[in-house]
Amino acid sequence: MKRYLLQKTGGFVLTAILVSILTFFVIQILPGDPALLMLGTEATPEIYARVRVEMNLDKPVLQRYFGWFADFLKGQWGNSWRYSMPVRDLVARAFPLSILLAFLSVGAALLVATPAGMFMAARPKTYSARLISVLTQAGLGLPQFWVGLLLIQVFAVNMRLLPAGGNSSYASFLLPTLTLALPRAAILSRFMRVGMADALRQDYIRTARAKGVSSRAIFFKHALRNGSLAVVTVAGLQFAQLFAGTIVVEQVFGLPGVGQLLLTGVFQRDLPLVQAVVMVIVFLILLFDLAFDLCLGLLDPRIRYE
Amino acid sequence: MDTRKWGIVIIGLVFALTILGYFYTPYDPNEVSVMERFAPPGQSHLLGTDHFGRDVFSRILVGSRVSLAVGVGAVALGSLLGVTLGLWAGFRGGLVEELFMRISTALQAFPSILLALLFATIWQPGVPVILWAVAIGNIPNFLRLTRSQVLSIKKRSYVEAARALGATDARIVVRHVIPNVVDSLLVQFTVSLAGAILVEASLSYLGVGIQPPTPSWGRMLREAQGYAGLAPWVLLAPGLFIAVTVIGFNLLGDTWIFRRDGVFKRE
Amino acid sequence: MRRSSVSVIVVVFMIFALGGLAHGQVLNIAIPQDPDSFDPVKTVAAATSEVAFNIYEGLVKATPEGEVVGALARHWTVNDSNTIYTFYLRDGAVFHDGTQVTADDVVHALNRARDPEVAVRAGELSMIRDVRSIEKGVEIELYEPNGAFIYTLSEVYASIYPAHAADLARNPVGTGPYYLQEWLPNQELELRRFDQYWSGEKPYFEQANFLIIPDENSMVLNLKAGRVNLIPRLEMTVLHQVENDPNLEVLSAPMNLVQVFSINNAREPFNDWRVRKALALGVDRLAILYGAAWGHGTLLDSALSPSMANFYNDALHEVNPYDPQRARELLTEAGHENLKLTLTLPANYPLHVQAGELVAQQWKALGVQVDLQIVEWGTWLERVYTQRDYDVSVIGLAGRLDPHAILVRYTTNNSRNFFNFSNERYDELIALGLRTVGSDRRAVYLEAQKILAEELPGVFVMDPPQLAAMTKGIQGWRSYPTYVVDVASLYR
Repeated sequence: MKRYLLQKTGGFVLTAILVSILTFFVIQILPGDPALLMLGTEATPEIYARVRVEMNLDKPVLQRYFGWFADFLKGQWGNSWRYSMPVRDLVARAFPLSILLAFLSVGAALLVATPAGMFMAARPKTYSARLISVLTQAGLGLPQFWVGLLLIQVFAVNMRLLPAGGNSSYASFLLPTLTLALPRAAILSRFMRVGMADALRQDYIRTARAKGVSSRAIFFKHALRNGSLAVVTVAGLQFAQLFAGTIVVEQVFGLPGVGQLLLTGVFQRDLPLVQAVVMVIVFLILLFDLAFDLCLGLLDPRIRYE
Repeated sequence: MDTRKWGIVIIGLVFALTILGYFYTPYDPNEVSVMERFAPPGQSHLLGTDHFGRDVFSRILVGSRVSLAVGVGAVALGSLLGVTLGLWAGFRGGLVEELFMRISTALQAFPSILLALLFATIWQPGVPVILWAVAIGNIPNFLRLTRSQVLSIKKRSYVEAARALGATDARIVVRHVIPNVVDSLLVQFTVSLAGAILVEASLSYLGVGIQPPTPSWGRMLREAQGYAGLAPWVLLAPGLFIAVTVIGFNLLGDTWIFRRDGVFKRE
Repeated sequence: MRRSSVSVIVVVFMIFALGGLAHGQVLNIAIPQDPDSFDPVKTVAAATSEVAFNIYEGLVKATPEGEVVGALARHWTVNDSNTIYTFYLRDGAVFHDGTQVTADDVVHALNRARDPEVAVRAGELSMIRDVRSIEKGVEIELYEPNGAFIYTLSEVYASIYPAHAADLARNPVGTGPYYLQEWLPNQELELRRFDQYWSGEKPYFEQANFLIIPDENSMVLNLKAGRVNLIPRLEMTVLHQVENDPNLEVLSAPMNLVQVFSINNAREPFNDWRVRKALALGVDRLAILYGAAWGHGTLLDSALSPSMANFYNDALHEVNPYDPQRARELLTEAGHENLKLTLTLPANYPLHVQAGELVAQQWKALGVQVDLQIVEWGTWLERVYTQRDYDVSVIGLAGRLDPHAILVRYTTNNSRNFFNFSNERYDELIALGLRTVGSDRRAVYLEAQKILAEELPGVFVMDPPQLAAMTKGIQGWRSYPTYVVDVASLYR
């Protein structure tokens, strides 16, 4: 276990450095000059040159990278070029919202998908199972912006039940959560179905059955534990991807999350902002990875940490 | 007819329409005629016209190429790479596993818009760029899914028994691992397809996708976004084709996945 | 029993009444993106000037008619040689932090605005030789007479703020009718009414929230759901969603934006006037107006919009009529029957992308092979604007109050002349226009516009409309020829 943790920590640091280098240099390669993007179409060459100096863009790339790296370690994340405020403030405001949204939507998706998937696995031939199957498939093909706008139209414009956007109340999280959860629930229920169907075919189920274990116990205890492996893996992936993957929903519901921050940062080539956001995402994903690996071990005791 | 067969029928039809698009379209799909904008579906225009008065059906026929190429191509590429790396990581463990997992984490954390923009700068924007951008975005999913399944399978009694009997890794992979992971992977594959077709649309809007006037289903859907209330068909037509194609592929996957369904019985 | 229920009703009523008083009148305005910085000399984003107009004021300010009137200056005088302007400050004007506006504050702000070490647009105030405080006001001395000067004082960068203010970027301190209470990035800006505003007239709305909603469809739904009361700049693509709604109202006005197909005049074969002329004659601007702007814009013949009423040349309609026949002849004459060109479109502007898609079809009809290339904004700025590495592109050039600020970019050595346009007579005229004061200026700019229409740095298309959508009952909306939202004029 000690060695395992040591190895993980080493991997942690390596990944973080790898991603920071990658992000930094990709932004260098991209056409689109941050100084120019800041100044727009009205600036004169003199001011342009001066802003470049202010932004340190006149220094060699390597020197700038190491400068950034040293500052980052010291906790000096600098000012965002686009928002002219400390990057730390921006990050500190955006992440709690995005994490909450990720948590709510994957949670909601699991809540729906687990029973639906189990039902489809247990009674594959019934009409209700087929109906659920078709519904989940339809849930996949619907574009997110469309679902979001439709929900606003129905619940905010027509029924006037829920707020059309913003994050001023708990109710305002309902529609974005629903929008994000729908395709994810569709995906998870399919994995649940396959996982259960697969688990029910395994030897130990037959053994248990032969021993006279009740079918209820087999289904809910033995099969569920093994059958949910893929579901847990995929739900974990979905959760991690949602840290920065809610751009469309943020735009539609006017939410100040990480996706919006990252998109603006990339388009404005706002290096301090993009770097900091990406680093925090890496950190979260790595933490999550660790927790997830441990969970996987709980679910399947045969996976050991040698 | 068994619902499973519908998968083959639907996908067959979609491919037939795509091939048809190479030889025949009712109108020039890029012919602009502003005065005929938003003509409803009817005799002259089977699926109506869009905001530039272009024939929607013709654009659907031609647009399916891009959507199928990106959807199927990118996911095939991504899954191939992801599964290979996942098998390797799960089986070998140790440093290799650590390395692959780190790369996969890096890919997850790295903004996909940045990746797409980078590709578009290196190459001309077009199908290959989108294909690679979407494919790479799909690698972590397949890698992780495969690895977690391999980790579980390789400790199962029959696999350990096979190994004790001197079976090679390659043999274990082919005989025991692949048959067991293939179900989950097929689900992931069909699920990713829908995502890939839709992602292509967003990339077009970032300036790194298919360049106009070439149509694609995703792009048509995005362009129709604002006009849903005025001319629902411009949104429904590409939406319906995407949904039907996705369902088709899912049903096709189901025929394989659930070939042994119904084993579990109540006693 | 009865008495207690009455008292309950009274208490409840009082709570409601007090609640109503405490909340006051609130206006929610939807804008698509955040301001960049509230430091007047650092900001460049249009989104900033839109909000900052309500917070900051200069010595003078713009009117909806495109004139300037006194703001912090009660009135001003000009000497006979037109080089010294004397501004007399208003009595009793206070900053949001409660301090008096003094002549020293004005001198400090204007000196900072023209200091090339700090100010992004210092160049626009480079006509100023000196700013000094006098009793009851300030005196500004120019190097030579300058017709554009008084207009530049109405721009955001010439705003007045206290000399002691720090961190203006986040905490603006101005003299406007509203002050910034809170700025939550990507979410909202909360403005509160400034009750010590010098005019003495209190604006109707006590609070104005600018909500950031990037998606245009969502903006409209928010308007319909009542979360938003006003969308100052509605995207044309969603106009139809609000047009027939009985609870909403849409007001249209010219935006003073010049949409132009810019042509790289320095590049073969576009350096040949006949090729540019052929492209111009091949553009059916009316079809673009209907196709991309739903018929809601104003066609342009040259680089000034009709909203610049005092300087607009309206005699140029027949210079470049839609004439594909003649266009083909010109191409043949020039030896470019098989012309190939790349049309670069900025992805973030749907209006320009749609115009580009339409013109590509029109030029194809001339036998020109058009390759469309959609690029993201950062790439556009670098390739097209800075490196000038393009054939043809399309962009909207923002209007200003003074024609010089708009027209100077077509002069040969101007850094913003990404057309690579060069015309000797034109350069002379622009220099002359700046030195001319009074009614002769008009004649100079009329001729300048004629040259642009004839010599074609690009093909001028339209001034798209500014569509303001609001809940019925909101009154007093005023459209400006600059990028602002005037909250103080609104009431319900």
